[in-house]
Amino acid sequence: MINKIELDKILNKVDKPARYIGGEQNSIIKEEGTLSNQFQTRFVFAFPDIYEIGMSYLGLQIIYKVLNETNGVFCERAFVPWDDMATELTNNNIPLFTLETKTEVNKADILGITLQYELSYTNILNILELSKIPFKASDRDESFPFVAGGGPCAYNPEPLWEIFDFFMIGDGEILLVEVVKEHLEWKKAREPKIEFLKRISKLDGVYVPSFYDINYDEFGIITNIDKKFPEMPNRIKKRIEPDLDVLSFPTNPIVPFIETVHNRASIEIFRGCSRGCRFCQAGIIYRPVRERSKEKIKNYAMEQIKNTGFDEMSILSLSSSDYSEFEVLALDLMKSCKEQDVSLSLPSLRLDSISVNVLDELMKYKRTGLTYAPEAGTMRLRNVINKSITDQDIDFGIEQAVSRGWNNIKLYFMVGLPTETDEDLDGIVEIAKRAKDISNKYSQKGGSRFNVTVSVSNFVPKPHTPFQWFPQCTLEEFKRKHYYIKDQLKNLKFVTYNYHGADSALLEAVFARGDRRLSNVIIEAYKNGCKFDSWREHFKFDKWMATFEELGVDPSFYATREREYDEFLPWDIIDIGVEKEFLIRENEQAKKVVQTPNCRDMCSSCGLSDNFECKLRQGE
Amino acid sequence: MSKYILKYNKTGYLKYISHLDLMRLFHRSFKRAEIKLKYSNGYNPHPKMVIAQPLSLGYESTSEYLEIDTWEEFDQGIILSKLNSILPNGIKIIACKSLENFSKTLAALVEYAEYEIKIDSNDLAKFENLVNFLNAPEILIEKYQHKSNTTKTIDIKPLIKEFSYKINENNIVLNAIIRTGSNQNLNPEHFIQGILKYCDIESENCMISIVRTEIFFEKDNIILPIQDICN
Repeated sequence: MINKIELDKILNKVDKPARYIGGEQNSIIKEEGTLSNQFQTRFVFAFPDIYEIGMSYLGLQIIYKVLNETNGVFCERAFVPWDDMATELTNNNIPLFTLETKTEVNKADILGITLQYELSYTNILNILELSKIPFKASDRDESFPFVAGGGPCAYNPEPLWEIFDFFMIGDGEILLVEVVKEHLEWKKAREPKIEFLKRISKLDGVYVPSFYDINYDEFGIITNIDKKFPEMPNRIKKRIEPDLDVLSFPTNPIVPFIETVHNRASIEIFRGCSRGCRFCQAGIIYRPVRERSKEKIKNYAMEQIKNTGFDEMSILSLSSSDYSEFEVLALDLMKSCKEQDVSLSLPSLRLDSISVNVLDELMKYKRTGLTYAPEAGTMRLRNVINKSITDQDIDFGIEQAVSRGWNNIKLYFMVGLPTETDEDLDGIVEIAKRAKDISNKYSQKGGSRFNVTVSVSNFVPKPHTPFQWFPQCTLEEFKRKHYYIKDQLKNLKFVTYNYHGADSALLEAVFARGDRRLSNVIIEAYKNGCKFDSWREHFKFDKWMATFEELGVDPSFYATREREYDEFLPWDIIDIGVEKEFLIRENEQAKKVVQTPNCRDMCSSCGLSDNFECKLRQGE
Repeated sequence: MSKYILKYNKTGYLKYISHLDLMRLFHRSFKRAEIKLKYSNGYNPHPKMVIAQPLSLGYESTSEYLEIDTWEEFDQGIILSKLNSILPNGIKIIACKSLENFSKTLAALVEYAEYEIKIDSNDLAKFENLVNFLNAPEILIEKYQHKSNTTKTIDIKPLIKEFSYKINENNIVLNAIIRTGSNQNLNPEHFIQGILKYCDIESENCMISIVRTEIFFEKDNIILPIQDICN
């Protein structure tokens, strides 16, 4: 345990000290020992960003609950301290500590770090450095924790391979519990460190990178993989639970003292997505679609409100309105929430499918913005990316909202999509103009002014998607596209235009589809001062580029190179259940501008049902 | 509809929770305890729940006061036990009293507060000067003014009602009752500045911890703890 008097001294000096104190309602404390209510395995769940971001992540609450419900296991939390606190910790020689018991993070048995976005990778090193834990797994002896990773970026863990002892691929509720149970057994058996890794590498979903040697040819392309132990699997099969209703859900989540990004109750209504948008990694890796029953959702929602006192609740999933009984569910939830003086957020709705009834109910208390994501400006390009909404759908959606008095609409687009031309960019401008035309039909004298926010992000080709072979736009091309749109929008007073920096999209593309040679780049970039890369004010693109140059690694090899179908891709070692042939087929369909139907309408044989139970396929 | 005054403490790490965060914590906790608060009228209704005197971030307190208006009448013991089962470690309701026929707000009545200030310093001998602290004709401090970005010299002596201290082996403990509230207010930081300046001690070399130990109103020239407002 760290010196609490010293801690008190520094907490007096830093901004928002409540980030570091723990003790929130519903947080948990356990005692170490051999009794059944005591713990033997200390798991520290670390989120590689600041408290306000990490505490807004439902996955943290889920894992906190399932681990603390496991006998013998204690899960505590750690986050990246903001600069001022990091400096105080370093100057006062206080290592990073857990919020629950103020125990040094390096005293953990397992340090689990969630991998949510590529730009958090340097923050992982920040956690390790502040915890006085060596960066590389090979430099950590028996006295250090196992460092484990999970979450969406673990579906291509290779750029992080040297840093982590193992990765977990799939649903945390299932795999993580098995891993910690194995740890309890291993601890009892008093075996050396490597034996634990051998034990868990037999579990579906666990990848121990040091057990595999990756060989490259002279161009940097993988030739083959050598296993260090014959009993290791050739590919790591993701681990999922087909029935969400058997999983436990955090009905008593930790309630932060301070305002976080999303300070509200939240209920996950399903996992996976049936849409098959070709750019979307989540839509592929979280297959199959698994819905939580309406009854469970309603019960969890009410219990969460009762146990937290939140006055806002949100439902979570990809494309929420695809839930099979969405209208009934949404109206039911709205009614119960209203009785409890709670406002309900429905963040991931598609205006083409949302029912007029839901919209009518929603507008009774929600008058903020409405967000709509056509993703691309023309029908042609939407066909390419398999975002199956027509111009009529878009106009209908906008009209539904505008006619009900919404005067602030947000439109999300991506640029740099495969086959994109300037005509597609013109399409973005056209949609904004049409929104204005529609609003003119309904505008009243003296009514507040109509505003469209056009938000443009940059396409990052992701592993395990049909576009995984596709080259990303160059920085210059991204910038040209941003200005091309800007030029056309600048005279439209009703439009607010935002676009994301292309340089961070380049880095995302490098790490999303990176290989093992990037571990050193991440470590060196961190040493050169890169951290909090997802924070605009901290992002140091020049230092990143200098690091690539210094190490002789070419970022364009990863970002803007087109791959061949027969190339051995770094993430091929991860088996997501969807067949590569399906991804190739989808990529070819994209080139032919042909749509693939929603899984709910017709099965396109992605191969998943050969490996996992897919209820949509059974429903055929 | 009923009115109550709750006395609570705020100790340990909870001293790092700001006034606004504390209000939100209470708001959620009343909701969880199913104690329905009355709401104000107006465009943006907010629950009728007022903290008598906001406490600065970083200060502990053994006597804070919260005034609430509820829809229904509650047994005072039930309010106390329900809330305490929900509130986090570091905040505890010590007493709950009904405020019948009370039309003012507690906040308007606050006149003084008592603080216990502990200063760890290597220079304890210098504090011996404090014997004559209140005999000085005036105690001048520099007050920074955000609005005009200037500093103003003020005499804090009239704002100090009572003052005592005890020098221990490693620290000095000051007890002071100073003006507090909307009429006249002495920020404890300025009081400490006056003490350190008087003793010629640099604040950087000190570890200072502050506990508010009581909040007072004034009646017939006598000061009484806020909780006695209804007696």
